[in-house]
Amino acid sequence: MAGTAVIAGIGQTAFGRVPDRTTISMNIEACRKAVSDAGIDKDAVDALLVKVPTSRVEMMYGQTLAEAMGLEPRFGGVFDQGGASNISMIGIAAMAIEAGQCDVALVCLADNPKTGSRQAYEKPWGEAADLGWSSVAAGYAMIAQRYRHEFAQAEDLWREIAIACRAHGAANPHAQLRKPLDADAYGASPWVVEPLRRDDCCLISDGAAAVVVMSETRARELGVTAPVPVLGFGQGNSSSDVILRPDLTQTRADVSAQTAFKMAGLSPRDMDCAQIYDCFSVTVAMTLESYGFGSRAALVEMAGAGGFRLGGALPLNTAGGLLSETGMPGLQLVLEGVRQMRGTSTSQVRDAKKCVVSNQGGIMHTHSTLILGQ
Amino acid sequence: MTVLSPAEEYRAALDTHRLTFQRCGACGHAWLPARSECPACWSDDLTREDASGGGTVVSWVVFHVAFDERYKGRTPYNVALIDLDEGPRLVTNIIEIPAEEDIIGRRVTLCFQEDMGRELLRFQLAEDATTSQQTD
Repeated sequence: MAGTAVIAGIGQTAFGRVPDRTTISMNIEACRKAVSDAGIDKDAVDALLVKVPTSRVEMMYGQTLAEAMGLEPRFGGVFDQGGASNISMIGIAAMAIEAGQCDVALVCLADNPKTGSRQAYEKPWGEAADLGWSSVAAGYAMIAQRYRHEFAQAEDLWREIAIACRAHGAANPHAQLRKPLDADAYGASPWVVEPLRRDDCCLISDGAAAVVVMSETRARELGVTAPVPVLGFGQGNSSSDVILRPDLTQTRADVSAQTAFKMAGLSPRDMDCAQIYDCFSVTVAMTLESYGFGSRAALVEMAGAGGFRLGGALPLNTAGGLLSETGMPGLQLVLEGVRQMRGTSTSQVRDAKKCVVSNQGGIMHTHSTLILGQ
Repeated sequence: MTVLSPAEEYRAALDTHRLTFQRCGACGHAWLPARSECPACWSDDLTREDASGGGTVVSWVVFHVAFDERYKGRTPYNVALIDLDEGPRLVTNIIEIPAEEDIIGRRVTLCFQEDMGRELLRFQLAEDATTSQQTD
């Protein structure tokens, strides 16, 4: 089915501090803009898939949103894999369309941990809570410490990842953090949970994003002006708690990428840019390795040569990523992949024809991969 | 008589200075945290064993921000992952970590400390700094 589904439209709200809005309200704004961008009527939408917000988890959220949007979807609901849900739901929408279960799907995400509750990110963990074991950042720090033990140049790689994302965010007028980062500022950045510095950690953000998924045929019939083909997708789930993984620096991102690249009939070397889930800098380093973009040594060499910046071998997170555009869990990376394929990014990669996007959730519990083309 | 859940049994043993883990009667797999079925073969034929108290550091972190209100004023503090000699892995605190030292692979031994109103499971670095082979 490679190439049969397209992303027909994209929409988003403001990112950063968005007070006095419910996630329902922000979802509707993003969906309204995505449908408008696709140039279709609301009535064409017959499927709605949504990621549950972290700030307030509730049952039947998909139905609450559908009611507020006046929709009675043939197909839809919530799919919960944390941040990986976004790309997974695009894949589910594409398969549902192929199987005749629906025709035009909205996939959306809204969250407001910045002005609402960030309990999901800061909570204490189970039996070990009395030992001070708490927060998502600490789980990633546990991975990062092991990574640093295994690879002496770890911090050089993390720093270059953070600098590249921040440079691209600075060029994006919609980014929450538009302050570029240099090596000195990175080195002076305070520890959060050592070995992670503040500038290794993503933003906390309010906001929403949405995409419209349909078949290529339907897009032609509806006169969609800038459809972006979905060439491949896949997922892989480590699932177990980070502390129990036999190897802390390996996840099932490799399975996810292999599935997506196989579906697309492409390989990492065919990619012109990458939008990689950067909740923490170490996550990007591990994902690129798992995807087959090179060994840790090759990645640090690529990074040192400016490979992650615009004009480099693999421009990374060209809207700023979670480190700079918005810390929202993931769908914004798909929107930027779509803009790259349309040629409308604020850090446009010249002649970009293929883009890989990663989403992941929990403390690398879940992973999902999307490959976009033209 | 009250029937304790696997997690309650684990906690009750800790309160008497015993670190225990579960082992599967069907396949021999050993694990933490407490469960009602073996995660390897799904059997519910489980036994509880006492750990020897020896282990090896898998990784560790230092909190400079206290996300948990109860740890405000205690930063910086460490949290570590230990592989017990019997196999199961657990979260703990290391009582003292020398500055600038990478302690991954260091041998540790169990001790208990009264803190947070209970007997908390903590470890200290063993005198012998020999790095164990399994984490090299």
